[in-house]
Amino acid sequence: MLLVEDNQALAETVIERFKKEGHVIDHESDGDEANDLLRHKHFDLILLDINLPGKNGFEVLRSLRARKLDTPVLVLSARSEIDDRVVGLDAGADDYLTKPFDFRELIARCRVLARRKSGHARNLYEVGNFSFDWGAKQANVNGMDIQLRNKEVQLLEMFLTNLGRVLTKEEIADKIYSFEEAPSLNAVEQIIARLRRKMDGSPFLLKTVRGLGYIAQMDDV
Amino acid sequence: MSPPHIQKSPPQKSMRQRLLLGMAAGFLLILALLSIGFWSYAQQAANASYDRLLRGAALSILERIYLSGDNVRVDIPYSSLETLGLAKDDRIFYRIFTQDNVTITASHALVPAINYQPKETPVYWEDWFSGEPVRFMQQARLLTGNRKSVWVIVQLGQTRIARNDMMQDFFWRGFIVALFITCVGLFFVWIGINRALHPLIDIERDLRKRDISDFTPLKATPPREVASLISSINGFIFRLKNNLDNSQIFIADVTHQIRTALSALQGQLELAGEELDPQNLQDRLERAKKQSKHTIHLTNQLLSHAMVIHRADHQVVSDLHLISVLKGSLEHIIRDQVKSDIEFSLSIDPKLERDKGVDHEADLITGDEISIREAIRNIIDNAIKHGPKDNQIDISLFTSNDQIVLKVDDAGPGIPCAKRDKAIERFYTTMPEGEGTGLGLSIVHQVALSHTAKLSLSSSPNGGLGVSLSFTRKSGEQDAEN
Amino acid sequence: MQKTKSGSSTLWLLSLLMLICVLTNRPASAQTKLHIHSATDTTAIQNLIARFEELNRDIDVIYHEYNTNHLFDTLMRAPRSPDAKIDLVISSAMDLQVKLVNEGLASPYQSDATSSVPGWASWRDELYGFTYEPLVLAYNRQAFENNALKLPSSHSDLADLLGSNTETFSGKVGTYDINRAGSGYLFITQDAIQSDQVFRLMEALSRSQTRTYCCSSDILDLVTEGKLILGYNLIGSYALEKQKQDERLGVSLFQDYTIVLARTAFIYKFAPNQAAAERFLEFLLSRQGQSEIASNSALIPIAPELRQSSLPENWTSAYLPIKLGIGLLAYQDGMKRKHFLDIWNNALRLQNKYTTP
Repeated sequence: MLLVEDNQALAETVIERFKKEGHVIDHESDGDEANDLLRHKHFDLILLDINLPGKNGFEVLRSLRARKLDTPVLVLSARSEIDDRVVGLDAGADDYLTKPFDFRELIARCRVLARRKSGHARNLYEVGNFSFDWGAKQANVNGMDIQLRNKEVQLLEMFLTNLGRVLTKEEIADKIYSFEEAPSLNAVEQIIARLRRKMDGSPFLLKTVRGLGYIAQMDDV
Repeated sequence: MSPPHIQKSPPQKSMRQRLLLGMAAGFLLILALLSIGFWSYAQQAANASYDRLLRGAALSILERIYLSGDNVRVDIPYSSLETLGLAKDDRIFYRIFTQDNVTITASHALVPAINYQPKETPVYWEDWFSGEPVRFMQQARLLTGNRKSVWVIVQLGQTRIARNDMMQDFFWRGFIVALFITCVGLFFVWIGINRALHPLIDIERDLRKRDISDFTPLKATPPREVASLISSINGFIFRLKNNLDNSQIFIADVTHQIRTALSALQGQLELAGEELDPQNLQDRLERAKKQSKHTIHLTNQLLSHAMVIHRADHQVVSDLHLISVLKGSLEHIIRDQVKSDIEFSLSIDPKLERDKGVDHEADLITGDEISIREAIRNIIDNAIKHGPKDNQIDISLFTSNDQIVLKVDDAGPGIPCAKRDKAIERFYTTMPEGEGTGLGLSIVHQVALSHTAKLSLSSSPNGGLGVSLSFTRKSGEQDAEN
Repeated sequence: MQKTKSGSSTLWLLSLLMLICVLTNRPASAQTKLHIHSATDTTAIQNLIARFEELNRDIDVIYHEYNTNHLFDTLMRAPRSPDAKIDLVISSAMDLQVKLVNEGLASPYQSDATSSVPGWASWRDELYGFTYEPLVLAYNRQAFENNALKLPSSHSDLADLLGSNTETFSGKVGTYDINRAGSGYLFITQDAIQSDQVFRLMEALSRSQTRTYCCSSDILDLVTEGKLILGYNLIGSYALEKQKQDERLGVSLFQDYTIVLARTAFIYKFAPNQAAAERFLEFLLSRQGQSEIASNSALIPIAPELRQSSLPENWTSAYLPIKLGIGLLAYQDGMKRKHFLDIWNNALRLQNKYTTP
């Protein structure tokens, strides 16, 4: 992976932390140089600061995306968080963190990004004692296959691709019921209740917000 | 406060110049109209005077026409021509003829008026004769003899020199008077404009000489037209002073808070450095980490507070659907609370959820999305932070007349009535020292102020605190049912 | 100076021409030629012209002399172009001059000198009078002494004198033939305007069998010689000049009124030598020219301070200058003129002897 950060103290702590975790990490402190390096070398993940000498982080990111590279990018920002987030995500970032940040949070986010990529590649989604095979549509907790009905699988897939996002009951009903079936919101609630029960003990967490919808998250920290 | 920007102003237009030009244009227009009037009056007057001469001469000639047998005779009186000689430099031409155009006597072969029917009233016209413009007149007299009657016509022509002189004399006299009046008028206009602009010049001088720390109101005693300008400037000075005072207090508070937090952090780290016992060292480091987290949180809250104020100052506003702002904020907050046992619920007035995708002005508010998100985040963060592990946080959005109210109820300890006003103040916290920043509700209050929204604290049906923010709808339309 | 005299013998003209050429002793052809057409006796004006030529050596004056009516006819018939070879027109017949200017034949000229001309003697910045010539009664001193006659002091006195001495004056009174002499016509019509005595006077003249002549010089000669006793309405300047030469001639003014004429000049509108004409006109009206008129010609200058010394000291009369202006056109009206001449001719039994101008 590549860290692009001009603050030497911060860079050193980040590098040390990732080395301890057993990752290989390169470091650039200049936007232009990072941009040149990215033309020649491939990385699995890029941590990108926004305030950089030379090209700023957004420019590096835009030029990367312009070359049709989908390397996951986590933006580190010290600016007014929301402004930067909007611009960063629009520019093609996959996630962002505002300085100062918690290192555990950083590592967890990195893990998610790395996993998202490798998981899609291997057709297998894995977190802790939970895994899901996209091809076989088979979920596994603690090495035990979970028996899921069709609609439950559809629901699980939906939540896994929308982690951290609110899904309304109506959205879910539209997705898992075909045009002919009469969708019933009660039925959705029942399916969700079953899925939650079956996933009990796994890091897959599902929260109900009355009046808003459902939000799923992986408990991997 | 940002330093004053020295902007390149667009080329300035002088009010005095504009007023003067406008008045001058008006005066010139009047002068031009007067000149046209003078010109035609002068022409008429000159013609009238000299036509009288022609007529007098013609009459005295007509008197001396007589029949001698069958012959018409005329004895042109010396006085008639002498009369015409009053136009000193003008040449004259005459012809006396009968109705059959037979010349009786003539100085020149003049051509009579076109379609002339002999009559006793004079006819005047202009023509070109002998190389000069000539005023002609013609008048007839019926001679009655024994056997026949005959019309005898006198035609007189006179060059226009005296007429033109008189006309120009009349014209220039009038014109010079009008010009003089115009100049005097413009002079008074100039004086008037200067007098009128004097208060502005005084204000300018006052502001230019003013010391940067002088916030006393302007002393000028303005005329009515600029009184509101002066009171605006004075109001501005007052607000500027308040703003500066507030900023100074804020900076002092912030300095105090951050220094305190950083001192605590440094103290923990120093103690940790001196600690020999590994168990105690671990403990110290844990406390240093906690202090560091608190400092970070404090800094973020301070910056958030500053940002909200800054954005309010810069009036970054747009039309907002409070529902989508609220939903977006909730998604971010709850995402981090999935693991917790806190129960969230959202209820939205159905009146606000009609016709998705259609902007009802009444469902909109005018405001800054980023500030409102900050406010929502701080209210819910407060509820989470102060409440129990199985907190019940109910968020609702409903309408009340011309207001849209956002309410958050929690099951925490709440704030006693007596302390509610105080809770809104900066750096006031009900939490133990080193945990709360005392900025959360202050940020919300600031957002409420900049949106002219009402922030009120109450007791929640869940047992804790109820916080509500009432925004004014964009249009006065209330609960449009259609 | 060259001169021509219309209607005079060519021989006379030639001899004079040769004389002038010899006198000035310079070739005429190399000069700018200034054509002056004038009804003024050459003898009265030649010194003036010579002086002008002396001051303006580049100008050669060609002087054409006419009687007044002839001059008027010539001008009326002349081509309206420089081919007419007319630069300046001078005449004592003020009414005819006014008529010519009223025809638009003059060209305006203004200067300091023209502005000093009295108002009555200028018109339209075109026509300017430059002499001041009272009309006088010339008489033969001898005849008056012999017959113990008293000089008439007014026009009615004259009528009385003629009426009471019919025998003495029969055939012995001379005046202009107003049919032919334009200035004579002007003088008698001015009498008609000024005084209601004119017809009484005419009747008296008629009874005296007054003779008429073309020119004042003829009358003056005859009065001097005693062939006439009285000459009526003669130009004062000529009479005074003659008196200087011959003491037999007496010159007298009327006390009731004395008509004064100004010899007038204007620049022809189509003058081939406008500039030269302007210089001559300027000279006539200038202080220098006026002095020259006073000292070196038979004429009397119009400039008030100069004319006083040219007029006899005992002459204190009611001078009535003829005013230039269109009033003068009244008696030039064809019908009025014919009517007036008819009366005159009937009175003097001179029917069918006039020519219309």
